[in-house]
Amino acid sequence: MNRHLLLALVPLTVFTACGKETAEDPAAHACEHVAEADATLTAAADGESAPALGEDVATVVTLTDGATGYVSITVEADEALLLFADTADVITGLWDEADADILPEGGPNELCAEDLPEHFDLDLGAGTYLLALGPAAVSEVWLMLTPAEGHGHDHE
Amino acid sequence: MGRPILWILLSLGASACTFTPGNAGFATLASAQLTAAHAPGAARDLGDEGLLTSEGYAVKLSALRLTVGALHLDELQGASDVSFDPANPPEGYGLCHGDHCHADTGELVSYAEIIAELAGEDAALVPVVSLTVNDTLDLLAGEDRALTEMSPSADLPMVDILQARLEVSALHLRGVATRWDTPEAGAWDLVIDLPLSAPLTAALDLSIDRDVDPLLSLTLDLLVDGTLLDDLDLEALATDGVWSVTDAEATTPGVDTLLDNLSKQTPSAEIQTQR
Repeated sequence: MNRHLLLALVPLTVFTACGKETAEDPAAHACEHVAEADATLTAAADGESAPALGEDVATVVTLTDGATGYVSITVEADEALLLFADTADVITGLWDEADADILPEGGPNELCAEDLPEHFDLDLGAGTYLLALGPAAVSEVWLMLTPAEGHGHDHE
Repeated sequence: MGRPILWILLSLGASACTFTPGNAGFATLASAQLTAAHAPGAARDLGDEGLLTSEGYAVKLSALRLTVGALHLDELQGASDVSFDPANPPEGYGLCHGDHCHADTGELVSYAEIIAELAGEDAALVPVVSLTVNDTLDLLAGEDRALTEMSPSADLPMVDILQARLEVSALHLRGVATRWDTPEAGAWDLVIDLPLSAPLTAALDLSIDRDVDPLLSLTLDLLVDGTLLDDLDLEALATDGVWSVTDAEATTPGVDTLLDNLSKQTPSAEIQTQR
């Protein structure tokens, strides 16, 4: 069989077998992308100028030297999210618009605990939140915020 | 990726077998090892026993010790036909993985604790075997101990072991805290000898039956991370330059936070076959 035709048929077969787009486990999704940096941010020293952490974007955040820095998370409607970090204990708070720290207890992503030693389950209502980062003895942290219900992943 | 469905079925007394707890026989705990250390992690490790807290204090530790009692392997008694499916957690719990569920209250709760909760008031997690430690562990030096004294016996009956539980009866800490960003602002001594009764638990999932390898080895690793002194304003807590904690009274400023931080230190346990 023509080699190029064979390569073309393989993904078609997989797609047919799947029948439809399937949802990928968000924990597995984060493990796959931990080596990537789709965006970079610098944490702000105050909440008012905190840059926005995008959803489903592998982001490397430069931390504030010697102090807590902030990035913001904006949620349009009630949403369950997972937040993954490549270094434990850098995320030190999650402040809502009422100025309450709602950061839950974290734990490793058991699918790749060495790469992603910490994640948080976040059930957030519509609004803007401030994610507190540091102080930390490291200069940057990799973050990924992703929907908890699974990431739309095309297996074609 | 589909989450593998894990059903934990406890049908105590439902077996046709006549073995009861205490009967020797199905497996032997041939070895047990306890390791413990201070492991602040990259984000909090300032080197040379230095620790960075979430409030921005650099703490130079000169001692960090835990006084511990026994290490128990627990089964659930007093329950029947309790089913727990991590893929379909009970009300009050969200995502379950890695032997714990995220409670709506924000806590991580072990499968064993949830199963005990589902089993009702008459059920309790009780030791199948207790391993003697009864000593103070030096976390800065690191500990690696073989536990050889087991009660009532190293021979284990046919049970489902759900957790390892290490009794902790005191926390001892010595150190000096300074502001990380402005070390010249002052120094505060930390003198902590805190008696407590706070077991640290690690989830296990081992059914001892005819199919299990009869020779088992247990390892329990306790790594105390860099969050032990988080959320504590050490300068504000100090009196005359010293934060001294010698009792667990709730009225002692900072004690609740310290106890909460200690309770979040989760050891990891594993039981392996020796084949």
